[in-house]
Amino acid sequence: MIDGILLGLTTVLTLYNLTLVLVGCAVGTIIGMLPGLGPISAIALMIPITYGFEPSSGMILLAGVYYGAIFGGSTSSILINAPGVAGTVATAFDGYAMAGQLGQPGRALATAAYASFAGGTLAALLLLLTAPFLADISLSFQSADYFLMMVLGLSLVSAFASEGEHLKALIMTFLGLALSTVGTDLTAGVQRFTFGRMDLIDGISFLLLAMGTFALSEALMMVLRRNKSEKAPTIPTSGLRLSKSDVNAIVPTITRSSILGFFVGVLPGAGATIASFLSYGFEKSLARDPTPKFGQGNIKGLAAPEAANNAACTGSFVPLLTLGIPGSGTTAILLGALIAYGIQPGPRLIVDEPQVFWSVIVSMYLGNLFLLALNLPLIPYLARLLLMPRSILIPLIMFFSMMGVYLVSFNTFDLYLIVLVAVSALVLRVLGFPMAPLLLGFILGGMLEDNLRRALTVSDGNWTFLIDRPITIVLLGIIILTLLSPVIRRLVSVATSR
Amino acid sequence: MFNARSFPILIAIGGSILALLFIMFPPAFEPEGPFVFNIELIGLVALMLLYAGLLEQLGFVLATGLFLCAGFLVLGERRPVRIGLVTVALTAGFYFLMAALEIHLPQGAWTGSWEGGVMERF
Amino acid sequence: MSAFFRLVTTASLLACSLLAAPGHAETIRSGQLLDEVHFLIPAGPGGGWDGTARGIGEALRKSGLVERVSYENLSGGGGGRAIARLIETADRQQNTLLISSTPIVVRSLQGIFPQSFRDLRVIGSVIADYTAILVRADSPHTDFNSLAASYQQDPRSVKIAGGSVRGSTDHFVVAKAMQLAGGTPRSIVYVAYDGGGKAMAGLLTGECDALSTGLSEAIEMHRAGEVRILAITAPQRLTELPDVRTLTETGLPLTFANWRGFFAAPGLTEQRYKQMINTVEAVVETSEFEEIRSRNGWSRLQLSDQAFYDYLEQQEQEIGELMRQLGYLRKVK
Repeated sequence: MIDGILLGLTTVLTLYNLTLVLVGCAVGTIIGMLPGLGPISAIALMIPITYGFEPSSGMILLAGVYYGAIFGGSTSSILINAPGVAGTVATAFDGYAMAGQLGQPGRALATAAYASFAGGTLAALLLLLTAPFLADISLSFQSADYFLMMVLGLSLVSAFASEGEHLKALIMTFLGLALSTVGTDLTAGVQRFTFGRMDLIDGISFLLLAMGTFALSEALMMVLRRNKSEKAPTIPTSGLRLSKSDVNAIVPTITRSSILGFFVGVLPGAGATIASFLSYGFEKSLARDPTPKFGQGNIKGLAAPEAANNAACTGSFVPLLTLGIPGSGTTAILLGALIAYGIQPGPRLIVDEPQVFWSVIVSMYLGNLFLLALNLPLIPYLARLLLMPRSILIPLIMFFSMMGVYLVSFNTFDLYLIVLVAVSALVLRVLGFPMAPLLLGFILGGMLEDNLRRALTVSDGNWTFLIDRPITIVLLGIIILTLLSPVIRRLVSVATSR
Repeated sequence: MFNARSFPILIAIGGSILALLFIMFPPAFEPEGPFVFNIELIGLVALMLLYAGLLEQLGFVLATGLFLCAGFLVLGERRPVRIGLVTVALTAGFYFLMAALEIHLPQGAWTGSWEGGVMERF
Repeated sequence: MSAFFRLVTTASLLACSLLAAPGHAETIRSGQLLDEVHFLIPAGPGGGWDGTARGIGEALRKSGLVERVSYENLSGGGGGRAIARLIETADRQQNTLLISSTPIVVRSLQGIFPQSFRDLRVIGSVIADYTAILVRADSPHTDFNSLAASYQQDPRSVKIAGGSVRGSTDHFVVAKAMQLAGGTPRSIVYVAYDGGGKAMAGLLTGECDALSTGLSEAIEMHRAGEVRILAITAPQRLTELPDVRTLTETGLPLTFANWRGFFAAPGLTEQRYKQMINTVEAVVETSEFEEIRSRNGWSRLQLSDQAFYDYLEQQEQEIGELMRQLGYLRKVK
């Protein structure tokens, strides 16, 4: 294995390849910052350019593009509350608050960069240590287990609500679940709630909902709040160095989130979005009296989803490379790229062609490393974006939100829809309804229903699938414990106070 | 039998119960405010709807240019140089970036062509 | 903000000029090919249609056949919006090739969009992916007839995974095969997954007993010995897979190809139409196309003009009949 890694390093480390990774990172970061164009489109657009490259050169260019696009997505999440891809939604919760309310965009971007780099590194290490067993793990989860994972995700919804808002958070979750049923139903192949419109056959895109409820409604919110802070915002140019207490706070968070993210990423049916939401909820429930609160710029709330997101992306390479199974849109497009370079991922790859296997891993890792080195110096300039006067910034956010949605479907119907979503979200936010549970319900809703229906089809309609297999029983136990945890906590405190 | 209707019905039942709870026991709530309902907000929403309607008719360049200028003006920006500079830089920059990536933006019905233009390879 | 964009544009231009290999022009009969090609892709960047169109566009450019190539994505309505747009703006679509595949036939039968291939000019198909029916390597079944036999004994005992929605070709092909083998197509237990990769995972975890999917998505796992392809829907055995039997060989007269091909706007002049056919026929012969084709594991399926039209009519009739039997088509079209 060490030989393999060294071989991978020597193939990859040439001046030509280093130039490619530089170009890739730059192009990827910029594409990623544009909402609507995430890693999937960035890679798809670069593939034709790289036809005829050496596989390792092509991979290293795409690795730069890939990690660049992820970093770019976090940047727009943090600076303008515009999560361009699902994996960076949880980043916006505390990242945007830290950059905006606390006026520390530099600190937020630096935390995101370090956390995602650390997440990628830890995940790569885990990959080295556990690669032989991982293929088996990724194939031990069935639809019933994924269904329960989604339920577990939903049971974390209280983590996304502040005190006394649980009912509102639940209502928003149900609204998200309801919206997830629009479109063609996978299991039965029938259309639901499309009102006969062709534009709704494919459902409502997640990006539209995220951009509408976060970026666009936030831009409108700024107009509403206008008189409250008329003066142009002044940003203390906080350095890129995190303070010692920051580092102490996020190291355990990053470690936990990376491990969690990696293993969730290994499962072909879960992916980076679930990983980032789970780790955010987990960190929030672990924290005792955090200051600032989660959702108001807590550094752990930013580090956790960033580390988990990147670790999950690395984890998703396990089913991709060892089984040739893409678990997400991004790995599906990477599979296409690998095939275009003449690399056919599958069980034989690591045995027959270890140098190819390891050079792919090494290129991806170098992409991660170079991105950190390249982008840290850029952060102060990016942060200055927020110094723009609002009369300029608000139309820019509006343009980026709408163009982001348009670039996914090229359909003006979606432009009207996002305006409707943003205005409704504005009203709901003024009335104190949180938006994060809506997105959580929307993301989990579709997967929850599909997996449940599959599990029921496979078990001929028997609900006994819930107790048929050990993994399912364990997951069921975790859910029951999570739901009962407030009761248990109270019982324990009563017992100890006696 | 759990079919395509079941899940939406369950959501509807759950949602109704929650809504009923919300009406019976409305949680104490203090708005974040003070919010100032203003004409700018209406102007911006109208502008976005117009942009949605005109994007494919006028083409990306013209529609976006007008949208951005009008947006700045609605929000009280009055310095013509700044307005012009930001509008031109953003519209042209975005247009050429998409051209370099070979992503097609609407050229506008008036050009008489849905193809060609700058989309050709440099 | 503007600084970013300058940076982007420069970087992208740099990337393009650095990376684009110089095209070597072949001597072609000038005037017989299109001067420029505009691909209309009925989906967003990153899908199968998009990949094929951009791949073929790159082959056109690198082989020097056509220098000016552009792409337009227009998703929605399962491809229906792009078809509608092509028809509405036909007079402005003189260089436009719409890429499509078998689902255009299925979806217009289902009434998802009102148009069919008859409303467009049929240019030609270029590649095909056959459907494979496969099981895990540890399965007791070694040929399709033995799988069909246990299906006839108890349809519920054979769960069949597929990578697309119920009522799509993955579902139809396996239902038709079971019917030809003597079973009832309606009682099939089809488990729909979101994509071929997840369906493969569903088979390997033991959740399902068989999988019906595109051959290109299964071929590598078969070679690795993880799964066993019982039968494919090709008319003859493939040179890449000499050991895998076709359904026809098994005694079931079923062939099916998920083709990818091109269509043009209605009302083109005969000359323009000929140029389009020549262009598509020419690109298929280039080594650049051949490289993309073989890497992706696609089979050749080269039909032009009337031959392709007849093929589509036949496919439409076969699929329509099966859909009626499965109860997916109430009104007779």
